[in-house]
Amino acid sequence: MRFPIDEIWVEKEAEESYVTRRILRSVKSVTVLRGAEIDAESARIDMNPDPLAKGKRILKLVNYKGAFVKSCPGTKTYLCCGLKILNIGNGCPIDCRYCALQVYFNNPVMEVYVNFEEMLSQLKAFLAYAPPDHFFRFCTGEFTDSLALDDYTSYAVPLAETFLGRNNATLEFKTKTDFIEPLLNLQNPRNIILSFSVNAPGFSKSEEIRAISLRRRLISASKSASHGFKVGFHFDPIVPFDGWEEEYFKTIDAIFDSVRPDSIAWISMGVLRFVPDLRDVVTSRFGPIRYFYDSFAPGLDGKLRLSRNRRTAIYRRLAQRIRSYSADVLIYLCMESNSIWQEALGLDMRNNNQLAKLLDDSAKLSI
Amino acid sequence: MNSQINIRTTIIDPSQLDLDNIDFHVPSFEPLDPLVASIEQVGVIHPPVVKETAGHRFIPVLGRRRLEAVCALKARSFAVRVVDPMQMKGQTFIMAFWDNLERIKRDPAVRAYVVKRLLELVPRETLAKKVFPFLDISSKGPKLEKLRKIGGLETSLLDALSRGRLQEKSAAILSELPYDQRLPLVKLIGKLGLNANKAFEVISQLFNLSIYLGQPMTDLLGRPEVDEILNDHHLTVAEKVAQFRKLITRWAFPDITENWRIFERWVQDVRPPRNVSLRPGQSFEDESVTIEIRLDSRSRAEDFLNVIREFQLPNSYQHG
Repeated sequence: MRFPIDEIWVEKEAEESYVTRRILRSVKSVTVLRGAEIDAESARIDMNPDPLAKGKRILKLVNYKGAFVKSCPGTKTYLCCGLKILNIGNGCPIDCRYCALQVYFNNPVMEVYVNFEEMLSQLKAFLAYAPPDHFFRFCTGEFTDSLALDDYTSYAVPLAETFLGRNNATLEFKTKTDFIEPLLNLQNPRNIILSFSVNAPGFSKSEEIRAISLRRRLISASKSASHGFKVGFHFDPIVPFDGWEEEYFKTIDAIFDSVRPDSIAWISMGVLRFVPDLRDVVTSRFGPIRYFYDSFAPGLDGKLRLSRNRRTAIYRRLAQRIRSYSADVLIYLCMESNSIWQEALGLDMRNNNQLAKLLDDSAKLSI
Repeated sequence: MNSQINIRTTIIDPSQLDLDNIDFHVPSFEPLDPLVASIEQVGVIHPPVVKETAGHRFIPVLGRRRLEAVCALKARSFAVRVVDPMQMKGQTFIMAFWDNLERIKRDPAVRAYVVKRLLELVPRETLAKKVFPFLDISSKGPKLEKLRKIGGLETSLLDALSRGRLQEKSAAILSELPYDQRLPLVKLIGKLGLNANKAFEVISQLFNLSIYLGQPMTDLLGRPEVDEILNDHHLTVAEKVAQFRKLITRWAFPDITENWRIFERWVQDVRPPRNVSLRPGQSFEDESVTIEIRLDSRSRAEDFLNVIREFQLPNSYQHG
């Protein structure tokens, strides 16, 4: 399955890439634009009442000139896990109403970086020259869904193959799809983690427009685990709507119905937080969405957050439910402070290194 | 020179003028008196520009305030320049735009109104290329939409925005409310005499609550607690403002309000000297406390810093 695309824009420098040729060969009845046509269409899209929605059906093939390997930007004021980002593109065909990327990029269209050989060589060089005692957790799902466009790009398998057999790194694919089939042919995928962004069932259905259903994501998680992959689950954003507890419990229950605890690399949790501009963009696209108007106040990083007490209570309840299935599965919090770690999970997480080590140790277990 | 604009000069009398027509109106919130006085003394130096409509009537295009001043002075006739009646409405409004550009850029209320009119009269592509860059406005995104909505607010609110009594972000929120929900809120803010900052705090918190609770603004303002404060004759206006703000903050941020209560009680317990104030961390996100000490001279501040240095704070207290 693939997400439908109406237009493909080919940047001049991307024209010669074999990825470009492969993508163009694989599509039918799609308008292909080049050169000045792209500028004209881009200006037209800017006039569209909802450029972001339009852009989710346009794929721009780009020769990326920046660094493909980056550290997660994180924040200085909360604890970050030290994730390495492998930047495969920008934007995503799924249209989650809460998505932070809506304010992140100027360009509404999805970009795929087609200079894949350069991406691979930068990645290999990074891994080869890394200090031997360092461990790296990579993820491709920071600025896009890791697998949503993989049927066009076919990046997932060769990227995963780069990691197979390495002792110093894992690669995590983070997705709201069930597009895992190509990866299932990998032999001994011990250091590949297939992660699924999850949420409460009703919330997922109403807010994650065009995402593959939660049920199918969990079927994929089960399939991945049975093929020897470690799987991850990311509850982010958690939104405390009326009756949230029971709804999130349903998802937790479904996770443990689908996979054995020893297949789970980690479960992360993050209560909704956002830069103030996001609410304006979301409101202009979808009208006022109730949960964005809850008691959000500026946190230490300037993002709007619910009060510490509420976040702690939410994490504690969900962690208790997870713990009712497994005392050992690794739970971590995304961008929270030590006091919340202590109050919610009973862990004294003093700095980023300690958090990184916690995750590294879990990742190493599978290798 | 724009060769496309065809203008002739003629003399008209005030009865031919249709000042109620606001097709090309670029509002001004400045008083008219100084302009009336200047025209009385030196006359109209640059004749206003008008457009002829049916029945030999003329509507203002450029220089509406000069025309208003001339009418206020009860002049019998005056010179005007008349644009081609076939000129498109959008093109004529853009003339008014260029004529008032500096004022439009300077005054948020005028800018919002003009943006709204431009979006009504001129194709977006033209605006994106030829107009918005001069206003530093993006041709897409929520900010443009916000300006358009603010531009549709009633004149009294635009006037408050122009004079700085209302912040642009407050105007943006008010523009999201239907008129019958906005009016009581605006009246209340006026009654309490809230300054622009406090007005924003109250407007934004009430708006968020209204959406989150799914309750109309009138229901929130009609709660008995609001009535109790507003109708308490023992309170001064300043006390009413303080209590009202506290009430709204308690509704909007119950946890943070509770944390404040606990923090204030703690401050009372530790009894800091009068020249010391204690502040909690941002939104109580951590346990940090900022200590502010006011000293009456630099030399006393230096003495104090020397004492602090000798105090040898443990490492965990030293930031940076």
